[in-house]
Amino acid sequence: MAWQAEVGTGISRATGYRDLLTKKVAMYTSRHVATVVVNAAGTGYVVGEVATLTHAGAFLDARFEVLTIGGGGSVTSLLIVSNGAFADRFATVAVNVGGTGYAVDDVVEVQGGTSREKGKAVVTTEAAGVVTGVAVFETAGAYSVAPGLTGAATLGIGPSGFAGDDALTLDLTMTGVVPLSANATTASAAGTGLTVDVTLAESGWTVDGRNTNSRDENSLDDEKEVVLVGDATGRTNKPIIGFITWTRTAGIDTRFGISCFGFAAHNPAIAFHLQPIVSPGINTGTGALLTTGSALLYDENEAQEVDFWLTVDDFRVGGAININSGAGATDNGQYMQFHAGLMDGYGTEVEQPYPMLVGASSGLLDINPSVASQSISGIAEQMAPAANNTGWFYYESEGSVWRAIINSQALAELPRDRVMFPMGFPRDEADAGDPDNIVVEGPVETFRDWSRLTRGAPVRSLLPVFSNTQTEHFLWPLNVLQKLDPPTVVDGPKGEVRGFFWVSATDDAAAQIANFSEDIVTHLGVRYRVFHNHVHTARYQYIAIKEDV
Amino acid sequence: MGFTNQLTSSFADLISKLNTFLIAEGWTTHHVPASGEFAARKTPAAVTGTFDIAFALQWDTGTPGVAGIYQFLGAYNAGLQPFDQADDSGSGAQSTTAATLAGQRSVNLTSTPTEFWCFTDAAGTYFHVVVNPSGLDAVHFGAGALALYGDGDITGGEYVYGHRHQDVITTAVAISTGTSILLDGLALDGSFPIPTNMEEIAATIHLESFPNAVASQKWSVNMGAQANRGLDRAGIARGLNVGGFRGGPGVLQWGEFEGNVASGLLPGYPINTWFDDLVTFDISGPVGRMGDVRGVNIKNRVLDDTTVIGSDTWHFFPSFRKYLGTGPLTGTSGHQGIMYKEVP
Repeated sequence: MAWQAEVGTGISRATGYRDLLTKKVAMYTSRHVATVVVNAAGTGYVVGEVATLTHAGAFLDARFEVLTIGGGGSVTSLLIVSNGAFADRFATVAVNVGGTGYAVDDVVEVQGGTSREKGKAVVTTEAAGVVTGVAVFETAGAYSVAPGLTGAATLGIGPSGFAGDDALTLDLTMTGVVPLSANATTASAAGTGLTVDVTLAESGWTVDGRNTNSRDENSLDDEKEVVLVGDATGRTNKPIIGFITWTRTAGIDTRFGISCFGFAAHNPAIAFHLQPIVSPGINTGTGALLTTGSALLYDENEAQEVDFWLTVDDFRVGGAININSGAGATDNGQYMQFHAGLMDGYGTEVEQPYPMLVGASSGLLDINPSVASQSISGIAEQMAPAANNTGWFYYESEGSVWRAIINSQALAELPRDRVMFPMGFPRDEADAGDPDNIVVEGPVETFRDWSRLTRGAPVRSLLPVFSNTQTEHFLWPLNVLQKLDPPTVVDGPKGEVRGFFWVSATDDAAAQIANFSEDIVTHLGVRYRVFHNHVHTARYQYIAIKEDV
Repeated sequence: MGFTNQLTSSFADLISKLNTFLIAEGWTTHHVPASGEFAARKTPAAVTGTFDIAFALQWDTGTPGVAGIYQFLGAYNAGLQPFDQADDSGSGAQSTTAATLAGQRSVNLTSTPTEFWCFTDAAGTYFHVVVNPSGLDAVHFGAGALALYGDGDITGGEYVYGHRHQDVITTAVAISTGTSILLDGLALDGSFPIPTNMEEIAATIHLESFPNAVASQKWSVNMGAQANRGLDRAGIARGLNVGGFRGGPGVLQWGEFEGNVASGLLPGYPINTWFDDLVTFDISGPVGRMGDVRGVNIKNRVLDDTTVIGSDTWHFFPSFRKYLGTGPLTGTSGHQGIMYKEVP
């Protein structure tokens, strides 16, 4: 389990939509700090100060919060607040044999070694098609066994018009992996001298033979396409997920995004869109991205750095980004959410072989990401416009088909076939003469009292769990439920979304909590980070994601 | 052992066996059959203090069958009748006559119940009883302390419930507001044949110092939202808890999956209760849930079916009388059911 938050200036936030995907892939394929203990306690630290662990092989740094201090500000305990992404990566790349037919900006993937992600290099200079200069590209790989360091073979992977002869070979140096003991840290305030011992664990995803920079989209020829498979320890059916970057042009605006996909199986030898049972969003005949799908929208100002929060374990990945990261008050934030991978199913793997959930906030690609729309909705709300889907889908193993999750279409509060609990409500046995008419919601309804599928004002508020001493927000687990009318044999709960919860933004005095997003809810010592749905800050529009450090 | 299942020959035999079992489980009991009295009390540890689960029965010694059910606080005073104990919740008739007892919180065990099951846990935070009065029927009563959410730092959490099944209706048999079973968010006053005093029949929960509670308020009634929630024995107004077995947030979303021969997956939903602020109409919580009990559709289950989930054995019962597929629904509870965990 790993969590990574990149927030605020001077931090490794996303510097563009492609950079966001690169950082996600780095997080998924690297190792992360699993435990941390104080080695040398240092001096001058204060509680709450953050110590950063970096390394040449850290694509994302680990961060530790000082929990307790002793005399003189010596650190006595730490909490991991970002697990980091550590691996043995390329430190430098240099031309060994230059090949022919290459152009500047060609991207090559280094072959050999054992890795969760092979490293890439980009051509920086060439002479008559012979490569004369290269640079490390994207994550620089995540190796457990490095390739041969002299004359490593390469394979061209971008752009789409790549014309190199694949004879380019490279000389490499590696970063090594961060040591496990006595690592120096950098303090966020006045502390100094803290060193730490760490253990590392795999985040659990491996590129599944597809990690290219050659997709043609909207007159660009180098969009990213990557497929990963999760370790899913203990399971036979592994989760397979994919991402594609894209742009769309709307008048003078350019829109950017990452589409999310799930697969029932994956063959890297055939095209992305020809994979068996790929989730919606791609034309399975032509391979073009559809106008609808599961789109994680980036800001229209691509140069704006974007805060992000990633959660990953070897079953699923997910998280949130704020495409209005410069807003100051988090009530003005614009949060997009995404998830790809397995839910926690309710049966054995034989009974529920593949409880996948794939989705992102937008069901449309070409849409203004900063304006409220029924097409942009979060994982809890699941709103769609009339006759369209949301950007969220689960895989129905019984029918070998992806199903859209929709709590509400066009702001209607009506029962539906496939919903996300607790805001959605499935069809009930409305017939009073039916023996299965055994429950009603009663006078207090989750979906019409303290949350609204109309995006209107709630009828009443849901306060925290009452306590004489502290505020305790109840976290509602998100669950996919299917119930058709008439009922079918495949009806039932389809899975719980691991680590994602609905939470009410109401305090003990029944007031709405201002700027609740990015706050922490703590339960039994575990932290959960709060985000609202896109631009919607009604008190029922919030989720909390477990910081599963 | 936290579970018993025994045959019974009579009302008296049932109470006697229940008494013996609860004593073995560490409960302090009072049992005077000649006076129609039984009580059980336990003070298990809570997160921040101690619960005080205090439960009592009163029956008509001349016509045993219906038992009035009471909740109070503190040790049982053998010098007082079950319905006159200190800090009584106010529900349950102050009577020893069967007909009067049946008009408030009670359970009809009949004079010759056939069999009973009693579920408790190791910590003694509840005892939940199911009785088969005859045929394939089930009636339910019991007491416990809520499994509290959050840090558990509240005063209260103890609950007591009886069972009233609304008969004489032909449709919506399982969701009549004239029924009260477990913590029941659907129980509500109505017009004949539904009683007009469901607040005296529904479950009670000991809760103090909740938002906008009246001075010295100790009790809350768990039922549907209605203004009349009655008074406790001290004449103090009672609060309102909503949610529960048949009607509560989340119940509709989870409570109607049937399970089937193709997919045996059948959710048992928790029985949660929320505090309803009668001034603001806002909801706090959930406060807690009934321990080791779930609501469930028993379309494909019969009385005392068992299923092992993980390493736990769960027992399935109809909420009253399962509809067997033929004839009218009248007198049945459809496919509404309850599952209890057996704690060894």
